[in-house]
Amino acid sequence: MTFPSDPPREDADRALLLNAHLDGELDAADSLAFEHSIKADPALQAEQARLLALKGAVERHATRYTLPANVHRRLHRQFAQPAAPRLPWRAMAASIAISAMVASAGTYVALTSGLGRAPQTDMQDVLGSIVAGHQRSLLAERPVDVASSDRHTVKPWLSNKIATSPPVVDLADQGFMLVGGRIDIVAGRPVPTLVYRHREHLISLTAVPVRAPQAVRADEAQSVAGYRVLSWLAGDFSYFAVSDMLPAELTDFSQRYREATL
Amino acid sequence: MGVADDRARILFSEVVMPHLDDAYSLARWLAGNPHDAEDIVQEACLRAFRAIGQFSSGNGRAWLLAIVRNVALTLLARNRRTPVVATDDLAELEPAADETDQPSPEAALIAKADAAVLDKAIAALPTPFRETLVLRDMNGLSYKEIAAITLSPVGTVMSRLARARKLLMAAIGKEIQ
Repeated sequence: MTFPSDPPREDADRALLLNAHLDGELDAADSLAFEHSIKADPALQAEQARLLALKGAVERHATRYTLPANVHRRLHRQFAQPAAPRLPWRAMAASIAISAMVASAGTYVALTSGLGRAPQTDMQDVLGSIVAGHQRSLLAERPVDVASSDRHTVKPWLSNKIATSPPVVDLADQGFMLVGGRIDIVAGRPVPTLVYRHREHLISLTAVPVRAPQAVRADEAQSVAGYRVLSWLAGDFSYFAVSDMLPAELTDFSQRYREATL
Repeated sequence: MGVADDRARILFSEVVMPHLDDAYSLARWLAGNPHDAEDIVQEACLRAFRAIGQFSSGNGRAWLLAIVRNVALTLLARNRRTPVVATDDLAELEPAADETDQPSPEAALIAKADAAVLDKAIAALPTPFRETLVLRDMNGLSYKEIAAITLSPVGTVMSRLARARKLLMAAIGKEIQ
């Protein structure tokens, strides 16, 4: 930065130099020269006092905004938290599907042959993070990242953020109102979650992508950390519906969602 | 996919995460409300994450704030909730003589300004002046960094800052008297 070697004449220029001086932006030689001109000029002294008062007031009183803690956590999960290293993502998604079925009865052999069986703990982790996402959303200011009852808003938003979205359907006429969508982190990866409201209950529907399109297979509702989770496989996703509704209501919701997305 | 993604996450933790409060503060002052400010920071982080491989050296904070500013100005232009002044129109807003010839309030009166008065006065500044003032007096950036972020010559940063402070003093004077 260079300044005129002559003392600036223009008031405007002197105002700029005064600001720069008080901001510590003049080098030592320029500062010294400018201090001399301040001493010789009462108007400049008065302006300096005003600027110092203003800078002091702004520093002490103007509001310092800090990022809300829940947003900070979300950004950390989304962009900073290292991915869970145990399994490659595709295998992980497949193992979710497998474990979900293992948890129900009768299909154990057919599903585990050839694909290998994921440790049960992985499934517990997955269910844990899905339910935690639902819990956090209930504590946050808004349960969704994008609030809209318009499916034409929610799906593009999800697709834009993480390049994948389950079918978004409006079930308002059946008692399940679309509230919006958000992004949850499951096994270290961002996954889409749709949020519906049924009377006073919120339903989080998290859709974990699976390797190959699947025929519809429903599981029985189970209880995790006090919430009911119903999972099923359909198309490109393994779905997990989480709510504090009665099991029958959750089953009703899952059937209506599946029928609407056929 | 895994290795590249993990590397991006590590870089993001080092380059971006330490400056999220700065990012939010700028977004909040530019947007004028917490809701839009959150959206701006979210979108800026997404862009930063995608571009993190191109971040080469040094000043992560200035880099992030430049992204935040772009996202914020785009959003403001789209929403039109806050009047936006395009840089080309600035000449009209930087009059040669200033209507600031009107006497400024006394220093003692300025010193009495509280949070409510200051916040209101800052929020009322036209965007180019507000962003310059916030970058300097809230984020504590140097003139050179502000010039780089706002894509303006240092001389423009200086005149906007002087003008912003002049406008603040006048607003405080009106509010308190």
